[in-house]
Amino acid sequence: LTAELLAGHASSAGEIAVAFLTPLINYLRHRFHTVDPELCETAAEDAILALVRGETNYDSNKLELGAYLRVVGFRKLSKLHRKHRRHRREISLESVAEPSDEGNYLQRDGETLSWDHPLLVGELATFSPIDTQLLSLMRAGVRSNSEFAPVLGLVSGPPTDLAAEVKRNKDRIKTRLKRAVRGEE
Amino acid sequence: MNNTPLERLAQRAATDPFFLGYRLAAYAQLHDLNDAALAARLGCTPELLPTIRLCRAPRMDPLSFREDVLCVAEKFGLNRQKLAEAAKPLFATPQREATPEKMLDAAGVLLAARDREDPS
Repeated sequence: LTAELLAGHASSAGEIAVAFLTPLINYLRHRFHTVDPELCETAAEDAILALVRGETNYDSNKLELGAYLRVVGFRKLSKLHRKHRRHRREISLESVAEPSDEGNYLQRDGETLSWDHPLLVGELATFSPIDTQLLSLMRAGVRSNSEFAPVLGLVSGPPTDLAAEVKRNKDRIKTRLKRAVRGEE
Repeated sequence: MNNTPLERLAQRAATDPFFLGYRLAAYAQLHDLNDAALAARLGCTPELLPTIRLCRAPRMDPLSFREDVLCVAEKFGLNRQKLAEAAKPLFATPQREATPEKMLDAAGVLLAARDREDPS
């Protein structure tokens, strides 16, 4: 099917839709269960249409078709979700769980965002192992610099330097999350 | 009413000239065909129509058009001739519909204007 798509067979678009549309919808709905299911369906449709219309640069050497469609579907869903929120503020995310830390850096416009939010999930997927560990500590409400220091490989040095380095890394992570929620690159 | 995701997607495709569904929609409208009648004409079941609608529309040059029609017809077991007929772009359809009847011949073809009488 991939070969037929890349060869430009007229029938491949229909076959791809049959093979991948429903699994992609199910994947998006399951992965982003707090997002409107209709948005997930529209995002899956958009992903399939973009692929068969050749609007994406699919390279079969890098990713198999199903995985690639999940990536495109995720991007489409993020875009749709952002647009949807911008135009329809009445969508409430209150029903989803709050982050376990007391910080309010994930709040925007008075709404609490879930860690399942597509924008956050996408950003978290790009985190390095060190950043992931730091974020885990932050979410757990850890405040002691001595617990952050080993993660950052800081085993010695003046306490003020250590504190500054920990703060710098925590601020960097917060900034990344804020930008992701705002939909910035 | 569209019940399945595939049918919904096919409906979107029917508004996009990239897809075969766009031309099938124009053809069905021109011949006043519902899904069952269109499927019967193409030689398939109505359940297969969404998949066919989501295929790429055949390219315009004759060789590529033939190749694309054969590709879809063979893949889904359709009547080649009927599919070729249905997949032709209907550029003149809106104008044809708006043309006064006296300017059309018996087959509905637009008559060209002539400057002088036919010598025969």
